[in-house]
Amino acid sequence: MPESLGLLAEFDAPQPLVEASLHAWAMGYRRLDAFAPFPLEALLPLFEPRASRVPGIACFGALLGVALALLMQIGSVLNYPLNVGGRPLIAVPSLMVVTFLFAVVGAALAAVLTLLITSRLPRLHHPLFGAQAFERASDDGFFLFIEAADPLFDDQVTRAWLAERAICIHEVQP
Amino acid sequence: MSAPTVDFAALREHLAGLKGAAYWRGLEALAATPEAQALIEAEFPGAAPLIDRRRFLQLMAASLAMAGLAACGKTPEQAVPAVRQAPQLTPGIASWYATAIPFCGIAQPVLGKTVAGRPIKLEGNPQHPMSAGTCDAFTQAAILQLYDPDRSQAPRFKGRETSWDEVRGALARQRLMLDTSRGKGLHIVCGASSSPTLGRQLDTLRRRWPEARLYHAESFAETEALRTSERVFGQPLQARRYLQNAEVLVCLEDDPLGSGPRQTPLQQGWAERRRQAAQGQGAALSFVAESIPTLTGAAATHRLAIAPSRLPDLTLALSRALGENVADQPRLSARQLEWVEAAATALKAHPGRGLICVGMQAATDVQAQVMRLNQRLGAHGQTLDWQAPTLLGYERGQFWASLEQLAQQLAAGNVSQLLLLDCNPLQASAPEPGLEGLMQKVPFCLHAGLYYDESAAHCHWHVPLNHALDGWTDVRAADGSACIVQPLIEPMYSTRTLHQLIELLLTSADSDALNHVRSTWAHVAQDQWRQALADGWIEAAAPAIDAPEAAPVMLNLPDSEGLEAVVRADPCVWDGRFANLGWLQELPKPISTLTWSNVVGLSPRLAEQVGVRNGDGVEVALPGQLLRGAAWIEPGQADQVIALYAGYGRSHAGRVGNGLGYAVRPIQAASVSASVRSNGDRHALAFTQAHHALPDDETPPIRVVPRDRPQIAVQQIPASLYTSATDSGPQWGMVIDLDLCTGCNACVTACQAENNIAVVGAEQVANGRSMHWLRIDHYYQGSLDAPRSRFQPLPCMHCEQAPCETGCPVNATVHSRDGLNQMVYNRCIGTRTCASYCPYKVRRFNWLDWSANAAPSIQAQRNPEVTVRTRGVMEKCTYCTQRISAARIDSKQRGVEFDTTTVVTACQQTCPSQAIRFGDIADPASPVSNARRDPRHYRLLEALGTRPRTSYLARIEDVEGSDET
Amino acid sequence: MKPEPLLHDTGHFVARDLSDQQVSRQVFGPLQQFPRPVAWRWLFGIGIALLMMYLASATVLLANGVGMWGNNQPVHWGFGILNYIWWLGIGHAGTFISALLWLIERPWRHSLNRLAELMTLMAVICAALYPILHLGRPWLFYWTMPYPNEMGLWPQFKSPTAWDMFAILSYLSVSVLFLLVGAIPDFATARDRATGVLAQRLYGLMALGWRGSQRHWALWRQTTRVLAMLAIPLVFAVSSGYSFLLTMGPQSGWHSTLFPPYFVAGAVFSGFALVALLAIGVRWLLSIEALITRRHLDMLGRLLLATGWMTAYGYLADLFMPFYGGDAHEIEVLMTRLAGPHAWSFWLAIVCNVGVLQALWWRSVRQRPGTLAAVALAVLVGMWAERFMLLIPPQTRDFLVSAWGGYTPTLWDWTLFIGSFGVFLVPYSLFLRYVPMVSAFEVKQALHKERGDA
Repeated sequence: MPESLGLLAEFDAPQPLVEASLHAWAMGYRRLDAFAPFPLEALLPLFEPRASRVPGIACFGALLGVALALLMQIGSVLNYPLNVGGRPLIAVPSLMVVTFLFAVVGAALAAVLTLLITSRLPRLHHPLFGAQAFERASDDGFFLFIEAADPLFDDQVTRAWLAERAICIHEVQP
Repeated sequence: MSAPTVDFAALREHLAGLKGAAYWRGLEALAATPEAQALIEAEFPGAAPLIDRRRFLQLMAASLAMAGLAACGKTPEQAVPAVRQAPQLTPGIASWYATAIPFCGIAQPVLGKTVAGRPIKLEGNPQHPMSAGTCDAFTQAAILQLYDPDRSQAPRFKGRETSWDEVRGALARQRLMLDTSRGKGLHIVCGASSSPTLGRQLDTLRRRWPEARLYHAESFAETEALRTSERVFGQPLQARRYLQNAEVLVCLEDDPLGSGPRQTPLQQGWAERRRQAAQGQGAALSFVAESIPTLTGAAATHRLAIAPSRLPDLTLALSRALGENVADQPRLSARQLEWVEAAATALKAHPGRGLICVGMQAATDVQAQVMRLNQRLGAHGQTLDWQAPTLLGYERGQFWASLEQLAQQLAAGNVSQLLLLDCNPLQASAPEPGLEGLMQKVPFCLHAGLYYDESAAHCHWHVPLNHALDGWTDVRAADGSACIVQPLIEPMYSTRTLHQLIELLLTSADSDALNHVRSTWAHVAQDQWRQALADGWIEAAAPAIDAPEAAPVMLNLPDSEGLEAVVRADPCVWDGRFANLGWLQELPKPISTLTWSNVVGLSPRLAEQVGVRNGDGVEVALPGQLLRGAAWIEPGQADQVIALYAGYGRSHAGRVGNGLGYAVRPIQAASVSASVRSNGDRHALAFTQAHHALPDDETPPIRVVPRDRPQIAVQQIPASLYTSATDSGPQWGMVIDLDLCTGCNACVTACQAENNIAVVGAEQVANGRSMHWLRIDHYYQGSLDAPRSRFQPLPCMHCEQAPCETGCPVNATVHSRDGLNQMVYNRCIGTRTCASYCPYKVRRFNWLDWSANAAPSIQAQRNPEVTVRTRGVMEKCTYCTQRISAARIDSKQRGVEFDTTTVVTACQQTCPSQAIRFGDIADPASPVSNARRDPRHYRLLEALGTRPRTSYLARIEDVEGSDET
Repeated sequence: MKPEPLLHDTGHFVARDLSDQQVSRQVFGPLQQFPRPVAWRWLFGIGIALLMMYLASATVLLANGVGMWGNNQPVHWGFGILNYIWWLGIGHAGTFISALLWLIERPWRHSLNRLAELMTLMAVICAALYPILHLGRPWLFYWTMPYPNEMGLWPQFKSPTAWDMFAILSYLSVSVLFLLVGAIPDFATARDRATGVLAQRLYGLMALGWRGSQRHWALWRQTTRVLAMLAIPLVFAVSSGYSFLLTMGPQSGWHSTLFPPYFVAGAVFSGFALVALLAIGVRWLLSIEALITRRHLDMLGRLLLATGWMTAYGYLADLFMPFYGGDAHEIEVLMTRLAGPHAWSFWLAIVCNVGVLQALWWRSVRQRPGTLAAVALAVLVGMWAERFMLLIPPQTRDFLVSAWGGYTPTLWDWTLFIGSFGVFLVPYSLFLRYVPMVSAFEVKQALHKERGDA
């Protein structure tokens, strides 16, 4: 029998999962993750501090968009100057709309890319999908997964600890 | 449908209520009644279901017979270019040839521009005083007639195409019979012509066949005036009028400024007078008494609407007021007498500087009396002189016979051979016993003409004649000078000149067209001949003949009650000879801006009585004629008069001209009694200017200033945030003098010819999609029954702060360094933002593919220097940018300073009254800069801050009606 | 299942005791077995028919040119721009519901946002097709886009027409991102509930391998918040963008600083109308009355009423300004709107958008699907009339009287417009079949929150 990746504990409601997760975290488990059909606000800051970077990166994307828009609009008239309606070559008011739009699109793209890259998605298959009953994680199942790689992980102890709380526990095979 | 009629009471009231300059386009918008609104609805573009959708395709449709011609033509070797240039023709380099276009037998001297052997544009001949470089709309369109795919292309026998040998044989057989009968039974009908060569040939023919009889067939010719002059002076004399000297011009039912063979020189004179008057040199008064609105009436200082039957009384009153001792009393209204008094006073105040003109349809005694009056006014030698008649038709003390006499001869069965030469008497012929009926009995009928027309269809034989631009002949101009008509291109089809045809009849010889003309002028040495060809004329103006004292005339004063009808030549297709020319069909008729049809003109009062509105069908009964047409309400028309226009209702004009409008036979008399009734039809009329009133508190687009203080009330140009667009080099600008514009449409046609502007057909015009780059706006001003007319030519304004340019997302319309608002066709994707943003709406869009399926021959006419626009692109006036470039390149090649005065736009070039000035506004010495310093100078919609480069000089008004007070 | 009470005074307007399973069954059930297949076939059939009509009209148009439409000089902009503005305006409501209500945390929005976002997507596509078809040379539409080319030419960025191109593209892309990111978890659910292999694969692809990990949820929430924050100003930018199309020209009746806010209000207004219509349709078709309750309809009614009054304020201001400004031509144009040949459009707009709208003051009207649908339909018609009234009459009354004209749309104008509903309907009815039309996971979360067990 191959070495298991870790233990997946199933709960029947979000509340026990949250408590278990927090407790586990307090005990010092770090390589653990909770799975639920919707975000459990109590856990979010704990598990993914990097999420707070998203707005910052979005702002960067916006700046990139602005730069690109200005470069395009000003560059084009400088590179091919034309008298259009006797207006100045670089008419600042008329730059606004496109620049703003580029900022928005830039920010949006940056945000979504951050999401995908940081969460390492798309990843169509994952060992957890192998675990029995895990498909309910997207529906009405609540799971806590503690990796075998965690320094505190001890098959017996952790299993016992989980058993006190969860309905049932599954081994996750690679 | 219940046709709401116009609420005229409301209209009059509304107009009376308006203050100052009330500008309006038509009746309906004036009344705010729901009915009126319904009428406007009815008039809206799109509401034109009756017009055939396919016509524009049809009229441009390719005629396969012509395929291949598009490639290239060939200029005859004998033709002599007007200016010295390389002997062999260089592709792309235009050559100019001086020639003339005969119209009603009167030469319109022109220079023809040919590129790669193809004539592409006609312009007035600056060398010739009767043109001075300008010409009218008809002459501009003559080039299109040369290429008309519907021109007759081969001889026909009983409608089937045949060969010239067949024709020769047939003529030979007739010749034998005629030689035996000494010409008895030979009857020849000629259209108006002044060709010395033709005269010479007819003489030979007459000497050989003395019994032959000649007839005169021309709908609107001056034969009546000639007959009168013979009665008055003992010899037929032709008047030459010099309007530049006429400080007081009195017109009785005459339209010297309107379209006609003498329009160009007369307009020049009129404009010259106004120009001098504007500089304070003498007056420019015109008193016009007319039954239906004309250009002369529109330009008049004192206009009087009067029924033609009142003309004798008016003449009587005028004679009395001028000191003639006449017995009987004129029966005139106070208003009419007042007009007469004013006219007489003015005439007496300017001795020798007055001129009275009378219409050629007026009664003989009226014309005679006018001749006498002019003599008494000392007009002779000043504003008027006399010359020997230039038109053929008077020989050995007698005039050629009329068509009525021909009808008698036909009825009597005296006719064995009937030749119809270059005329179409059957176009609108009388019902039985009409000519066509009588001609059935004639054994030999031959028609010679440009088209296989109605007359041709009723003859056994038809032979195609050359167009003036592809055959040799000669013709006399209005001043009696003789012009040589030299071809610009080898004959396109197997056609012959009239001279060749007569030679064929006399000798069966296939003669050379040039020889006939050359031998007429045999006394001219060869080098002089070449010079004559280069200059465009061979014999200077005819000497003036001083006429003997004219005796007083007893005017007979007809009683008139009831309606009377007048028949006029159509301002755009004349008597129908131009019916197949799309340019002229689509040319908005002055004042009404109607296209593609003729109408039955009614005064507002008469329309009220008959109970019709614009476009309603009416039935008009004349002696011997019954016609059905569309009613059109013409403000300012005499109340008891029905206006009819000849030239329409044609069956054999060609694909463009067939089946438009109604047919009416021209009448010689000034008017005939008539009756009119509504017949419940509804006609869709295509006009270019919808009918609306200008809100009376807006600045009118046409500014009018009083003669004594010719100044525009100064208007502030809003300050601009932007620096002026002016850049290095010449800055192009245009100034149009509204005081000189008569609204004659010559510029519009010239623009169309120069810039390959598409013809779109009646339905598209009705949809508001006409393509003219230069339009002439017309507004009425003042009361409903006696309004003033205002004209305003409107090309692109080439704004320095052009809103259109900022609208374009793809840089397809941008500003050039020299201030042109450029249109880049191949960059345009057709968002139409530019047009939406244009406050002057001068941009034109190719809604469909107007030009692609034009006949190859039509394509051959196109100006190679101007892009033919495809579907889906915007276009507009370019200030003839191709001409600007040509001039610049030329100056570069010759290594000289670019002389901006050498650039002349097509519209400016052709304008007979030279109302348009174009040039470099950066050069303070240029004419256009001078014009811009004129106190009458103003810009259109100045308040928008668009800084237009095209601007106007206000019209000068001698009497009340100016709005700058 | 026991009859539910008419209204639930819960934050999410849904029965408090609804279990996760019930929610899933309601949302994902239709993906396996559609409750009303016959009705759906009718819907889809009609959609196809209209789509065919659209394609036929477009073909005729492309073959012959814009001349097939009623446009003319001076009315250079007819149905093309009119319907573009109308459709694009409708799109905005979707963004508003999903973004604005998300930011201010209105849990009841979870039942509506998915169908509203899908509506936005399709409306924007319907709109975006119009400016292209309206071109004189549609095959060159890409010339308005910036790309290096051998001519060295770029778009003319001073032109509002160019701005519009960017506006549409950015709006489209941001809406799509918002929609997809928001739907990932539901696609995951669909994947896990799917029985067929193909379905599993496809939903799996859409779900990007979503596992519901809290680490992912954290990122997801941040991203969604950012997107929502971006979407709101974008709506303002876009609708102002196409109002610039009119205001940047000198034309009286267009040249007004009032237009941008005026257009935003009108846009959201018309959008809510269509959302209400769709909500009513969807809840019946998918028989998910438990998720989209009458309380939702009631709320939509209120929104409709509120935005309607904003639009009405626009009318008032638009009526007032010309007289306040006193410019003769402005007044002329206004009078043409009120009493000209196209006055019907003005009065139709007033009757529908102001008159009929007032019915929504009555709770019963808001809560009864039939009546609410009727009002919503009236508003859609009214808003179309308003766009007509704003766009066409000013063009028929130009500065120079000589250039005045009229406008009559042709048959082809109408067929293309009516056909454009097929462009909307066909994909939308497919969504009904294959996309979870309610954001299930958010509903579940709201339910748990309500019950205080999460």
